[in-house]
Amino acid sequence: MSDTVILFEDEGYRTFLPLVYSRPICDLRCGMFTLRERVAALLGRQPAAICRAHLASVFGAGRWPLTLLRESTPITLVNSRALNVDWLPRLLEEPVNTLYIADAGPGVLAGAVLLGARLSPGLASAVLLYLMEQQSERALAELRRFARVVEVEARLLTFPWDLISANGEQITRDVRLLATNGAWATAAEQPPTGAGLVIHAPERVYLHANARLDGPLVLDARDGPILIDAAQIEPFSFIQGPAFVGAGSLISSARLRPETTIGPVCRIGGEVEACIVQGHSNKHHDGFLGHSYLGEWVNIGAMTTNSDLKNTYGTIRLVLEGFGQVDSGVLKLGCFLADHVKLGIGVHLNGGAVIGTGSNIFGVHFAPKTIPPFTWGGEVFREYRIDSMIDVARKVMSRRKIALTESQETLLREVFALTRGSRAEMVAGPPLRMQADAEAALARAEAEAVRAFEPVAPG
Amino acid sequence: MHPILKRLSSLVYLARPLALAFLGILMLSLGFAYFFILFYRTIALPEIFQYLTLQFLPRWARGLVFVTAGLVVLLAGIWKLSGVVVIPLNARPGGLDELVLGYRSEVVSPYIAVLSGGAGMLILATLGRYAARLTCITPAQDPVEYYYRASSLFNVQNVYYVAPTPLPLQIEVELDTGVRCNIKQNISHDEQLAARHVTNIMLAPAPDAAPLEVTRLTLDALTSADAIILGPGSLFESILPNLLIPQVREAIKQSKGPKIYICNLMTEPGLTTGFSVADHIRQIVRYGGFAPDYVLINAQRIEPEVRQIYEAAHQMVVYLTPEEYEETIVSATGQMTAREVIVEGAVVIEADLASAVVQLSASLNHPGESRTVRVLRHDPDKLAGAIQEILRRE
Repeated sequence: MSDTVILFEDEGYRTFLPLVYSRPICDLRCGMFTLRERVAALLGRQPAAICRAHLASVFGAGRWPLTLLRESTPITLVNSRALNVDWLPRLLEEPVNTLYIADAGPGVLAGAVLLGARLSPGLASAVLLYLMEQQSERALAELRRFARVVEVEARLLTFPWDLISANGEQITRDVRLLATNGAWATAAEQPPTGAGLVIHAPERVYLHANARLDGPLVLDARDGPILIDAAQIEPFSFIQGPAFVGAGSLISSARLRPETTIGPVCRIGGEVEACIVQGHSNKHHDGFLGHSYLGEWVNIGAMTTNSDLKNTYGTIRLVLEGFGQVDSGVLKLGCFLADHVKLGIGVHLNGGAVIGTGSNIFGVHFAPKTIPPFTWGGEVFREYRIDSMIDVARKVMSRRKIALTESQETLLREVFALTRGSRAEMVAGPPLRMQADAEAALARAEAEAVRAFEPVAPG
Repeated sequence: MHPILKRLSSLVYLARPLALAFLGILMLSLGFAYFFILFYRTIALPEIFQYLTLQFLPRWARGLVFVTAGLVVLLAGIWKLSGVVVIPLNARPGGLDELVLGYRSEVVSPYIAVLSGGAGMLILATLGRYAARLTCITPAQDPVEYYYRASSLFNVQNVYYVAPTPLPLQIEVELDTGVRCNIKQNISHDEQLAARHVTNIMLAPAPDAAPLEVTRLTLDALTSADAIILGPGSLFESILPNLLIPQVREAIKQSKGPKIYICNLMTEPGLTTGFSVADHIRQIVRYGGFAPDYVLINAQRIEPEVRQIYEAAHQMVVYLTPEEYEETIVSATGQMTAREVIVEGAVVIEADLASAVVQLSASLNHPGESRTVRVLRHDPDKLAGAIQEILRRE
């Protein structure tokens, strides 16, 4: 029997808040895949995951994952912040009780960090509890006593902007995972039919058998591969590689600039550059989105635009929860929108804007740079009532024929409770009366949101 | 009468505030009475007030009616209050889990370490419901995954199994005949060894002579435990092997929590044949270097039919013999109804810990033939209750 592969979260998850309040790091997309999907594609089987308690029922192996150690086969641990896992096949060949460590780089952890390990069930039982509590440093200290240590050159995601900066390269690397999948072929091998298809470097354009290209459109893979899953590309779209479009997505006459990942079941319009859209999210209309990350079930209204470059050409700063203002060190950085964020029409976001899970922002020209999870409003912000937020989430998901499960609802309620402190400084008391134009903006935003989630027309 | 007093006793924390409230109500009543008198004498009231204020009765009768009615209402209020203020959180006999005006009478979710093995470890997993964490340290010779596999069949919570060493150790025992064998040789199933018992247990030397290293989680669980439970399970197969590890012994000594040993119900053929309760405790003292603070033994009467089945399998009830008593003590709290004696420095508590269960038994020689037999097993809920009782008194 093969090893039990377990993805674990370490202390480094904290720098990814609020993006990871409602999902573990291994389920953040970078390149074509999330880490969980990448490991599954590599090994041909689903890995297990252990994550923070409130996420465990939805994303992990349950709150008390005893079943993970029930087999006598070795346990292989993989750090959820690992970007690329080309070292994993090598680890799976190592003798039992071998440890891979990597340089932690900047961030929460210093020195070496636990990258992966192949352990006997006995030794795994000595550290699983630490890993269930995201105490990888304690686990590493313990494993060093019993296991053979191998230093490995591997990149770990440390800050949210790493997702953006690594995305293009990772799309290129992920191409090889398609080699065994017979449903894919390059445009050179099987040229797509249809009028007005302009394809540069067709040998680097990978198309799923069910991908639908409606010309006229341009696919330019000269600077990197383009991968289009069973998605629909509408006329007048322009896609530059490296880029990936997930299954069930609709590209509506959009310009996808290089280093862009669109996850499954998204609707994308306007101009998108170097962005990651996790999946099931909409940015259907005009407006620019650059160097940004969008979580799941995000909706962006028409003409909402973000800045990704300062007029001073200085590095972008952003506020990380628990760390204060941090200089990203990069010139181009857009916004980070966590799961279930909704933005109305015409909202402008600064570079480095971070909006927490479930927030609903509308009727405001320039949104604040940092908005806590479950915030409602525009001119005036207040706490979003969790029952209302869940009603909206249920409505939005049902339009994609997906039910909000009881455990997902519990997760959202727990995130709401966990993040209550971050909303403590919001304006107390009754919200100010909105101006007439703000009311009109709200009505437009709501109508826009409803239109955006209309199902994709068949055929 | 006792249940009524017991219920009302839950208001002991409220006696002073209730008395104060009563005094306040009394003074308010007097104040209102003066106002009423004033109204009577200065304002002409409609005739109906004559009836409402019982003026058709003599004054002493009016007073009696109001005092009686007031007393009934007051008693009803106190009775209702006693049912509302004490909130049973997890109703069980003994009333351990009650919330009295925000004061939690139960021991707050303890961290418990368990040295046990086999089915006994799984029986004790029930205790995980009442613990912040139950860290079960598996026997040194057993693969830890067996326990995870078995426990995944049940919905256990807060239970964690950890191996004391990353790789299983080899444990050997010496029988009273001088024969040495590995503990994993299923000695208790060998008919020819049934009448024998173990005289010595030891770690087999490691092939690479590497120093014995113990997992940090094992040592942390033991040193920081609010209680360490040894058993239920085979003395030589489940409990003593881990006590052969010096670091484990040291960690147990450092722990400030009580050490509770759950003694076997029956002797084990080939291992503890002829052992009394004191013999079991002596083995723990001998190999662990400590006497348990408490020893739980079963006080339930065993039916002759069940006893005969065990005797046929060379098993006897583990007796507490009177000559082994050192001292009889009286429980300080008065809440324990069980008899308590000290044996080998450990407080022995006799309590109802077992239940007879019907078990399907099959023979290896005749696998097609199976029969049901009544056997005695430690009862998970009774054990959990007894252990909680001990933790409450600590």
